[in-house]
Amino acid sequence: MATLKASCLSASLALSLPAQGVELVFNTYLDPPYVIQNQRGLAGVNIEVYELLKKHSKLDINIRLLPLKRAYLMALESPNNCVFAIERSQARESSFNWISPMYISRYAIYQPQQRITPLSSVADLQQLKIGSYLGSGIGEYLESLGVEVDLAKTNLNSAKKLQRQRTQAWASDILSSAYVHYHYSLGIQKQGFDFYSSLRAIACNKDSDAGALQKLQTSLNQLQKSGKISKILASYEQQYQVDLGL
Amino acid sequence: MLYWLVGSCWAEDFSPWLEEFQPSSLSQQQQIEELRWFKQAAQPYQGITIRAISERINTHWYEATVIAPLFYQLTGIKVIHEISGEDDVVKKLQSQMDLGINYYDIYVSDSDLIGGHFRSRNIVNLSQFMQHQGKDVTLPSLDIDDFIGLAFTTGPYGDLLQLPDQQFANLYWYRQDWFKRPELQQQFQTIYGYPLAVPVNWSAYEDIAEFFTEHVKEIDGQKVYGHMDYGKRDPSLGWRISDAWLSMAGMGDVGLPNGVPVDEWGIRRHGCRPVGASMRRGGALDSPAAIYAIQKYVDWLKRYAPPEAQKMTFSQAGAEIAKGHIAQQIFWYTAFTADLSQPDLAVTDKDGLPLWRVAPSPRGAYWQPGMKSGYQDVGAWTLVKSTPLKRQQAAWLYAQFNVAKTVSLRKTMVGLTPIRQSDVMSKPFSERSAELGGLVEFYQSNARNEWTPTGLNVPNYPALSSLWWQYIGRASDHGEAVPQIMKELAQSMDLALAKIGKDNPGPCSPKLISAQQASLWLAHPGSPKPKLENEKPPGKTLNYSELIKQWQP
Repeated sequence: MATLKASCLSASLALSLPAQGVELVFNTYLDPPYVIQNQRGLAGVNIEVYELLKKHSKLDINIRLLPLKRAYLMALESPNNCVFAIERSQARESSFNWISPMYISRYAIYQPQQRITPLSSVADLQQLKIGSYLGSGIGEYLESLGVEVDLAKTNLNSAKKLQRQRTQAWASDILSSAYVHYHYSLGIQKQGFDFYSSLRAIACNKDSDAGALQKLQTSLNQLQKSGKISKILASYEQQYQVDLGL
Repeated sequence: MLYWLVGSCWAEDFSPWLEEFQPSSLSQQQQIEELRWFKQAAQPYQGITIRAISERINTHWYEATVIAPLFYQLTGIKVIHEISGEDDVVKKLQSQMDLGINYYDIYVSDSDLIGGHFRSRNIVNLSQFMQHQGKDVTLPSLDIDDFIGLAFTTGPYGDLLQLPDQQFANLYWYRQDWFKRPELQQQFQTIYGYPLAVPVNWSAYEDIAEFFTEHVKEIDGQKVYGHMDYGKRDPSLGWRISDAWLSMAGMGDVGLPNGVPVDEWGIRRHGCRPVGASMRRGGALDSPAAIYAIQKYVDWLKRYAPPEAQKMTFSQAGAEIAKGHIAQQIFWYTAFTADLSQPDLAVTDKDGLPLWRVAPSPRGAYWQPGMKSGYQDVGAWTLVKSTPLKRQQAAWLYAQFNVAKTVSLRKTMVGLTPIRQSDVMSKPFSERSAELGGLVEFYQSNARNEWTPTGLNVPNYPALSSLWWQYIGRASDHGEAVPQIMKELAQSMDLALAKIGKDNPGPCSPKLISAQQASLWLAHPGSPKPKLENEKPPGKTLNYSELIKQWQP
């Protein structure tokens, strides 16, 4: 456990003591079913994790809903601001202090239902124009493989682009795609081609209070070990009838 | 599903596999026997989907796109073989070990993590696995003794913890066509008083870097540079430094695969227990040799490399030498040999043969015979205990398929990252000597044993490796003074070692020895070594053919 902390935070940070009276801001964005806005406010996987974290760490954490790009910039530019939650990647590593991992996200490529030729490897993706959305780590990943990526504003918009044949495939987090299938009929395959996973993490501004971040990491680790976060994910897997293979 | 149905129709017809996996060190009949064994051994696991992950190099791309689908067709075990950045692979593996959640069923993890693996008790001991739980799924013709990297993947008690899947080394890279030009040879001799050839020491490397950047300046109308590196404060910077700079400078002690008792990370150990990295605790990370290494890295990057290199990462810098404006690179990863042998590049001739060569990297002023000469990366199949047994067994079948003699020579020919002696010495590999610029000669020599990965002294690679780029980046990216940075890095490494030892106590866990005056340790023989009066002895070069002779067994 301690090694996980040390790998996420710098040594100086790991040795600091938690400061009192620090307010952290979790800048989040709509990403169903991770973050959903309904009549009662915000809900979803991440919101349930946030509530657990807030209660366990006893830190003063507030949540703010923004477009992903703004949430990302807030965390880049403002101390004690975090983006909650994004894909942790090597390219982003040095830009933030990371509280990680919240969980692992699985990704798949979906094609129209009438498509019958199965994809057999990631090499096949290079033949396709694939939709993703702005700020998505998976879009960046596909581009790095030499895939032509079409970025929409949201994951749902990207799915709709596939429906309208503006793209040939749609790259999505598997739980998110299950949510789209559950709520919309877009004529897209239910079973996609699994090809990647990413660690979802809380990315915080590098000048944030070191003690508060250490406390946050400790709480996250303990919640992980207790199985409470896995339980939240499992309930969504059940609700949307999807197997994340965890 | 469709693929499997098609596969079952082939029954005993193995022609798709025999067609793809050529050449092979096995006869066709032997290949068929291995393929048949995999097919039969996999029967209890048909229908399982397993997840594997590895870093992003050509070898793993071939595995993910060619080998995994063929394995599925043969066995009915579907493999999601993910390709990702090395830092991401490390973080996922560490997260799975810490949390016990089964993110992946098998990892191709660098053997750099071996020091953490044997201490953590989270990794499956393959020696025991092959004798017990994995006995029925262990290939009878695996021929473990044929693997060339076992020294790097074996724990201190002689147990195999990881099975090598690919290896590549850091070697000196240079433009042989430029070095051969008579006018450049004459100009260099006039200025520096010795021949323009492969540098044996850092003095010569520095002179050649200065020569091309400041004296030659242009070749055939193109601006040229005498050095290439990268300096952005990014995880990949850490590997650049801990992989090779300090070992080539000669910071550590004599010993293979890693210095004893002080290794190339500057960590001293007593028995199997790390006891400190700072000179005050007998380590060498803030020693004169370490400061010399990093100061040269910073100075050469600023003075002799293209200006944009200071803001580049590993992947951005990797393609630079292919543009044809770099004369030499102090060390270059041979995993990219295939990429640099394309006929349309500025660094190959009209027949597609390389205009470049690889050779042993030059050694710094503190280097002594018997020390490691450079870095070798060994990516190796690694099972985590938190993976359920049935999934471990299915994943172990996939791992072995990737290194089985049926497959491995073909994979070596594609990715040029050999792991078997039988492949290295094979006729097909030998015949590619002219097109691979020295790679064949390196792997066929005993020199390959002097190029080694991070070893057993490093008790938690993910926790400690992040320190490198955060501190060294302050020198390369922010221009801060090297001695102060190394002092702080050594102190942070000590604190991190202490924390690892406190959180994970055990007979081989770190335990700092008490701090003393650094001068007392400097007076001891070996590392840390006192500052040399002259860190720039006369430059020395050797003709390429002479160097290659040194490599011959």
